[in-house]
Amino acid sequence: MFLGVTSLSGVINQASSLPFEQRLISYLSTKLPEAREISISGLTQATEGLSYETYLFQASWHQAGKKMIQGYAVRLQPLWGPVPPYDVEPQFRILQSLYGTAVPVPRVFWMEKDTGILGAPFFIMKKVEGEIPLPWKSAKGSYNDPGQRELMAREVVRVLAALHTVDWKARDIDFLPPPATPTSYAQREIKRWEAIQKENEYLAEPILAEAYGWLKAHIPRAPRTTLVHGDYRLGNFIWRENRIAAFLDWEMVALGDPLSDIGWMCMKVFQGHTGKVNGLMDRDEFLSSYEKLSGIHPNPESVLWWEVFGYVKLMAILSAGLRAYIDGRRDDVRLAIFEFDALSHLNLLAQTLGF
Amino acid sequence: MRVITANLLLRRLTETVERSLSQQLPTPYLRSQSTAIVNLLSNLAERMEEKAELLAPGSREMRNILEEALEILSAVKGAGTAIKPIKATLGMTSTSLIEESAALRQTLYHAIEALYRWESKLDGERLAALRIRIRVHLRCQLDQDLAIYHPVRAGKMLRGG
Repeated sequence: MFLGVTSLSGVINQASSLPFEQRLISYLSTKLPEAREISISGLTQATEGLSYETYLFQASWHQAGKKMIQGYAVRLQPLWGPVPPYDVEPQFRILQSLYGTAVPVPRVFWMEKDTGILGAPFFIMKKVEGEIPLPWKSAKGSYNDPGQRELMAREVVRVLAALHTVDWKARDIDFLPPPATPTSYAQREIKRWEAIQKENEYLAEPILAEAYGWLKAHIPRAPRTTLVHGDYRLGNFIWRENRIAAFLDWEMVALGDPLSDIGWMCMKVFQGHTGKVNGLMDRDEFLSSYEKLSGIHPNPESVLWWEVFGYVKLMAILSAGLRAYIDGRRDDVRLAIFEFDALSHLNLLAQTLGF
Repeated sequence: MRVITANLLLRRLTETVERSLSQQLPTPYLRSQSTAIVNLLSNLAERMEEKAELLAPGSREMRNILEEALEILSAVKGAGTAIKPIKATLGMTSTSLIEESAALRQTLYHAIEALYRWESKLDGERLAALRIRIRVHLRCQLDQDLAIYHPVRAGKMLRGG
């Protein structure tokens, strides 16, 4: 028998004395009024990701004489964590807006900001079947098959180009503020992540002050304003039948400079020991395929700027996560590891800056 | 040994094991293991202080850099708020080499920021020389840290052990 789950942030256990499973069933019964005898099985917490908590489960019920089965994923907004400030809404709404476009995303069903239901704001989406390819997952995983990797490389570029060419003005994306000038997004990002870094001074490494100084002196101009994912990389998509079935983790989505996603992708931290962009393709090949599909020229100086920026952003994320742990707001020990994890990022940052 | 001290990190780790993990363990044997871990963690900070002399050369160089930064910034009208914490850190006396190193790193962060902020008003030649010195120090510090700490096995953690 399933007795309940332990939430790493503790939000679930604080909400009510009812087991999480029971609370989910009660919630589903309000959203599926025709459903009878709703039951839940296979409730598990995903270990990927350290920000939002994701729980996967299968719901079964009877409706109009038929047995219905549906896989769901519930994403719970943490109170504290690596990517503050938290707001579940933009993530939910962008998934709604992109569903059915050339950018594959999970279908979302419901969003709630009422913390009395599950203990934190959340949204529920359809569980997308497939695999999250990662080098360390399994020797038999699709990432470790050279043929699959080649297909993955093409898909990663295709979906990124599709995202950057979405006609956002024609879609209902008024919840994301567009940058006022070609440099506004970069300036806003610097301001946002530097503030997070300063608020969480545990990782106030002097190299970061050098990096911020350099970044502020070389702000790039965006070639155009597009939707940007904010964490576009291997590990954030589901792979099924030779294609990307869904891109995940939209918590940093914005309207901004498309080259921010390109710089993020190019960061050595996501190369492993392969020397390839996301362990999938050569940098030149990536940039030229992207330009061909998107029509956006990835200016090398701008890409380098966004790469350097990527490291300071990553460090701010680590700082906020570490702070949440050290201050006792989160009990996930993996956040404590950020203290040591930061070193390899700082090393790559110093190399990218040329020292 | 860096900005965040070992004492602070160890205190939180012992709290987590006691507060979140131990209660979830199903057998007395596993709970005894976790109690032993808590005891070991509680005593590790003292051991770390024994290794703290490794930090001394880096701390000396940070002091030298901060003194140079203080001198350059002192020539600028309005840089008082930037100078104050540098003076305070240089004047501090700490019995712990770890605490001293952490404070120096934090102040160096603010000093670098101030050097960028007041760049146009500073002596260009001295600033350029100091920047090179800072970068050389940061590289050495990073190499030393990388030699001491073990790489994080992120993959194993994320897939759940």
